[in-house]
Amino acid sequence: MEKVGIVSCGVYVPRYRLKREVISEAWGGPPAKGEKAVANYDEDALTMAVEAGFDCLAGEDPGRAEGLFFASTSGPYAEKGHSSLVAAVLDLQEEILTADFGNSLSASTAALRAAFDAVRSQTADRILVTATEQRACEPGSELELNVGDGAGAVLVGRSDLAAELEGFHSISYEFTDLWRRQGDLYVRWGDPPFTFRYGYQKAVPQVIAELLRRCGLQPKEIHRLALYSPDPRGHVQVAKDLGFDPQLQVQDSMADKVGLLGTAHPLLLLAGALEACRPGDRILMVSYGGGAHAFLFRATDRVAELASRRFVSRQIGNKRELSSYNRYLQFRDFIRKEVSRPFTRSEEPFTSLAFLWKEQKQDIRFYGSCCKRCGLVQFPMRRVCLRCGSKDQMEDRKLSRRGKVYTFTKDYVFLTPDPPGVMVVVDLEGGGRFYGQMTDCPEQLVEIGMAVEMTYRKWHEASGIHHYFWKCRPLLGGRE
Amino acid sequence: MTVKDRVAIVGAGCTKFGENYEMTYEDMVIDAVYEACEDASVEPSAIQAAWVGTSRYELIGQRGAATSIADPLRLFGIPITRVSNYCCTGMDAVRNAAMGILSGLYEIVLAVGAEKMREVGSRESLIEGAHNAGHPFIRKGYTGPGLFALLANRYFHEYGITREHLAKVAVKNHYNGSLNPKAHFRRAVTEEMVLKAPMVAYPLGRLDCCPTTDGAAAVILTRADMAALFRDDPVLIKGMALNVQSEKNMFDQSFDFLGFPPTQIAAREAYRQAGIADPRKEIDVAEIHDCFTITEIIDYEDLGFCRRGEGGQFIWDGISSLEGELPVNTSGGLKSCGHPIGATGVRMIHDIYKQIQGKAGPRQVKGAELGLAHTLGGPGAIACVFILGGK
Repeated sequence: MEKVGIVSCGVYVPRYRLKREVISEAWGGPPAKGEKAVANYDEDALTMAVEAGFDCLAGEDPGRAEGLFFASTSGPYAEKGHSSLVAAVLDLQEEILTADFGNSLSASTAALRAAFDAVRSQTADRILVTATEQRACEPGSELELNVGDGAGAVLVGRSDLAAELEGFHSISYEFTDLWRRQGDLYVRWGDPPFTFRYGYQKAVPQVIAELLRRCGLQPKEIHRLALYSPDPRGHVQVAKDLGFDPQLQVQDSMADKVGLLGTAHPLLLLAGALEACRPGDRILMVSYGGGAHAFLFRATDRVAELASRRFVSRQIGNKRELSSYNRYLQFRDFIRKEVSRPFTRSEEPFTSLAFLWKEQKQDIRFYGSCCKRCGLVQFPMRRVCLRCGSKDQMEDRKLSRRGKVYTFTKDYVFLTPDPPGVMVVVDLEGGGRFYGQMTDCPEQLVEIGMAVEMTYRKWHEASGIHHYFWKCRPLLGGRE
Repeated sequence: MTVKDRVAIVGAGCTKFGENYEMTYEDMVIDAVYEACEDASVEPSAIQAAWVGTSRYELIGQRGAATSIADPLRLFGIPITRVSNYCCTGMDAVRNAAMGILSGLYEIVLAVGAEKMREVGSRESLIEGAHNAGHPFIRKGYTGPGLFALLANRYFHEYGITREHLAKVAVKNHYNGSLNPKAHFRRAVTEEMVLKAPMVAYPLGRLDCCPTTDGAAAVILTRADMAALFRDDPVLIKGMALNVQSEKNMFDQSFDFLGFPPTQIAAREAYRQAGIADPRKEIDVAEIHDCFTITEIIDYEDLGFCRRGEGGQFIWDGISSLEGELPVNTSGGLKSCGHPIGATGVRMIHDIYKQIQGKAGPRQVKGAELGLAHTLGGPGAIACVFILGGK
């Protein structure tokens, strides 16, 4: 059988961390350790999937992806696909398959399995699988302590593999432990001792044992078990029961650093395992939710190159503390300051479906114009050249996502949940100038010459539509 | 066609600028126009054509047409045109009125600028407007102070001036405003007060910004050769120019955020018409666009009062103060008078007119013969410059 596997992987953990003690202090609960990753006010599951996608495609040709799968239980739309928008933001081709996988926490691994099936059957050369969550948990609930925000991505393919797929196995297991009905705001959960013993502890050992049997392997031959658990320590218990060494073989769940990322979590664990492994190592990744999916990978010589990107440790290390529980509630729109409401005259920013459609290439794919006569790269797109005045001599030009701050301000009157609003003028690498909002940036850091990166963020709600557009943020790994 | 000395201002009026909660837009138009007519000794019924400059009719629930002045003034049966050109709105109304005289079609025309900004809260007045108007994403997040703060930070970076330089502009204009009974703010401030005021858009604090204000101003224009029929001290237009550039200049890599090309070009044209070779030496008094303190410093350079990069030193040395070599914003400027958008440019022309007539009271610049008025619109996208003088 032809080899298929992982070409690349990506992770996105939002910058903000909320310490669990801040949550327990707010509600008067017992002290809790660790922290969780919290999306900024302008992020949601869709924007984080985009981030993970960009991270995964770093150095890859996005034009080679022949599919994009989006997996989440918390996508911003109940009806309307997210995958087509994510594919457009990542500037993938149009002649590809895009699909949304949802509802279950094993949606990501279902998408992964579908991607492997497609690549193996040669209906696609490469497929990008993204998984992302920003799940709403009831303020003051136990879930709120554990559930974090973030996204992962895997580029599946047939060549240039960093890890080969050696086998997979899935089981379907009807069980109700975590759920949210249509119209519910928050995730609900069943009695933990019962759901752990009769849900997780049944399905997960079964899928692992069967995959190992089919591959003819013993637990000791697995270098890294990347095992998701809805309980921060559940995976250790199950690993022990199956004969794995929790110290040496089990991938750190990172739950105390980022929280549990729902269906994105198995991809986070896989990325963490790949970052730490050597050529020849075997990784067993297992998800859980309405059943379980297990995948066995073996790292190739190319894994070192992938691991050198340190995508997980870099994302986890680059953090900023969210100072108060109130700010967290405000970021999630659970509470609103009256004065921060932008629309006291009940007006909304101009919205037009026709307008949004016309401007897709500029507003979503981030293209500008390049004058064929004088070579000036310009944004926003233009028909008449800003410099030489030629009419309709433009070609579309994909703009760089990186640039340097030419000038800036920190605006205390612009209405934002995270004042002051930092506005920047940025000269993009390769031409074009962007003027707009900076996000994820403490005000004292912004300065002329600072390296920034474009990020696709949630803007406003108008006419019942989620509106997204580009902002800048400090370049990850740049001077911060 | 020459412009110089062909159009005369024979009357000017101006309401009290401020939070005129007790007045409507129409009240202010009536007061400004009747004051101008009385000053010119003409009846409103003698006006043959009029231009009205108002930028933001939506703030008073109107759609915006020339009827907004025809009705309150009972000015029916003549051509009236609405002008809207950002912060150059009022001055452009005067420019169009002057072109009406230059065309030979009319002998007595009215230009009125009026803006009622405080029928709603100051936040609703401008901040919401900026948030909700225009493209749904491109430029979103800009505010007036935020745009000019972009220049301030780049200017600081290039030329090494500090907030102390900006503060000197505020101190000067607040002092001048304290002497002007029609100014919105009539209180002198200290440098310390300016520096310690709450931040609005870094590095611009509250006292670096002009307020949102209600007000109206009007002028009566006629042919220069007819001016003597109205008064013996008419003021003549020596030059006038409007220049429009891009309001997307913040996306233009050739824009250096250190100066405003429309001001530079409009000034050059107005100086050419007026025959001015050295503006710093020849101009006696100037009303220039100081929506924010940094704007006034940049205006000095764009208008040729000093070289590029020397605007900070220009204010530091007191050259633009009331007793200085070239007094600037003797009215208190936008900083103290306030900035009712459509009224501002007309108010400036009213103030220069009074200076040239020697009627500026405690703010009078001795022997003022040649004056300049300048407005800057949008994010430095439009500029209008007038040169006015006596006979």
